[in-house]
Amino acid sequence: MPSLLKVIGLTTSFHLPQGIVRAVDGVDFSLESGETVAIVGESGCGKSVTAYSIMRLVMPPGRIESGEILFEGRDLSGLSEKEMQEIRGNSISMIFQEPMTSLNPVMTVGSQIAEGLMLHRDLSKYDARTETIEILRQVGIPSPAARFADYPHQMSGGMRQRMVIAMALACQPRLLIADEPTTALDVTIQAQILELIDLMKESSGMGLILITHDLGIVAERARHTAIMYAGRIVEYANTVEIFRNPLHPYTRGLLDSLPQNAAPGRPLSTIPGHVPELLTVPPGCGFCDRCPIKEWTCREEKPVMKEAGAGHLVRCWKFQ
Amino acid sequence: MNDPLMEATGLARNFTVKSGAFGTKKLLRAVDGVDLRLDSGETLGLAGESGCGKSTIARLLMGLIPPSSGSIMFRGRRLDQMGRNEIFSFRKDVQMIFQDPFSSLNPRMRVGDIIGEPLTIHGLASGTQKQRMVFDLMEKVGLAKEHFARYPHEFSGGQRQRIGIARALAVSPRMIIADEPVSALDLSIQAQIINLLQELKREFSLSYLFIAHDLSVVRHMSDRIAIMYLGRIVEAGGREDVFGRFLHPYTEGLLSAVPRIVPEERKKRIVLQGDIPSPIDPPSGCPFHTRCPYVETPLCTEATPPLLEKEPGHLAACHLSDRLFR
Repeated sequence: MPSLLKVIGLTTSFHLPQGIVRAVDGVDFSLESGETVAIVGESGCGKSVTAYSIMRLVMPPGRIESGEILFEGRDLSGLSEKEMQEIRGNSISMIFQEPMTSLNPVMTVGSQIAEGLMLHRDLSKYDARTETIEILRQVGIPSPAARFADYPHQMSGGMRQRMVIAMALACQPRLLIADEPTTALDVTIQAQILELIDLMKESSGMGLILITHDLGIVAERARHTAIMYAGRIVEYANTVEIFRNPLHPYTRGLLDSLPQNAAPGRPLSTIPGHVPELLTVPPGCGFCDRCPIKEWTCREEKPVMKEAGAGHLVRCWKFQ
Repeated sequence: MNDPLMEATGLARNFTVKSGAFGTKKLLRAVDGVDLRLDSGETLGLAGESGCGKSTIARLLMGLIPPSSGSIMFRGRRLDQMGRNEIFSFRKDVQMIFQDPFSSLNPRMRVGDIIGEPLTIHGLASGTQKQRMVFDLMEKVGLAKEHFARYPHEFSGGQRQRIGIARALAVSPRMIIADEPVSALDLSIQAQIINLLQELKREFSLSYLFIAHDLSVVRHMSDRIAIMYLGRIVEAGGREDVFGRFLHPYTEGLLSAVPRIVPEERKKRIVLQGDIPSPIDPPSGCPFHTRCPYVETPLCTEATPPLLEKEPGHLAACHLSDRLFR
């Protein structure tokens, strides 16, 4: 039985007038049904482009250069656009960060959700409506039959995100990609939405890729965690292991810089410098310019992923 | 007790908004009877979710918009009774740092001119003296000399925030209102800016009103904290009082909603149900009663609980706090 998703050597570049930007540079990971893997990193690290690549939604000047995206053993990177359309929104769904931009403002939310059901599951308009109302009930929308005919602007941010989740889950996908699903929401609403996603995941047994910059969300929700920096996964392990025993200097730096890990008012530990421009990433390790333990090799040669403990992978010269 | 640097009493601000197809005018109570004080050298953290009135308070205290009722005192003088000269020096003493380092800097001005402009406006320096002061400020906030002649778009978010901080510091203010100064920044940059703000506070004996929705950041920065909900302060007190011995169910829910970074320690979570009500049509009685897990009718739905001092220096606006949390 093949893994639900296996990504091997995924490389996605953007061909800009200033040069070629490797937004995703040789990303490998896999995911089983019913599991959550978190992809964590700062802006520009390639976490969203990884998701867009899996969905085959990278638009020119972006291009998937190489790599395999095996979904239930079938390589998505070789499929035609038509074949991809049958998968998108059907067996793989995605939730985006900003609920307003992923909903059509001039269509009622109910008909947007029903549209997918009619397309992918061949339901009649009447059946799709009944099914949609049932899904709205499941995602916790009060009086779902009345909300069916509402437009997105009539709802709060949390309600809209529930609608987006309802739309993503309508066709019972086997893989859900959630790209910063709660970043635009308030913290009490965030807790509701994360609980909802977990609940839906448990009842359907789908796999979940959770993309976020919030380490707290990762700690609570994901079984495995991939830390990304400058287009590459720099550390991958069981979530408890990552938090207990971070190995990569970037992961350590991130965890140490959290205000939760410092006494109130005391100086926070910091990572010097700033996230590199992807056009000027050094040929070797992308983190070397900010790294406290760098050596002469780091800048010149690219470290590879090495197993530093059971299932704990790290991309750092110190562990080669 | 120190004399307060800034004090607001009964502060309220309404906005008229048009809604519906006929543009019916309705009253939005953005800030609804808030008392605040900030002592010299202190950081007061203001936390709450979107629409709770945090940013309206910032604009009121800056004197950018007048209050609908209530008063603001700065160093013993009422803001609305200040004359021209007094207002001018008030505008020097109270500076602001904004959330978005992209829209708060003029894209057509060079960095050195952005930082130096307040010096010119307040007639504090000119010519080579001004240039020297700008270089000093840039060094203080961690910018290099060669950045002087560059434009904002050449900088990352964190460095732009440093430019905004240098501009605020230029006129030696007494107080800085920082409205979500780190929430637009990447995690590894956030810590740098937090440390910078703390160092500058010590060096220039500043007072901060620190507005943020990230509770871990608020806790780290603040001496005292006020939690807002729907235009009102629902709890206020010292940092450890509010975080460790909270007296309001909203504070409890807010703290419980923050994801913890220790994966094993997944506590029973109190998930607040429902949405934040609209400030156009706020609930009767306690504004929090629609989401409160402990609500008791008719007490909570009919009577608005006043903000009372429950312990020395620790205030809460809840009918049930004595029973629930003690």
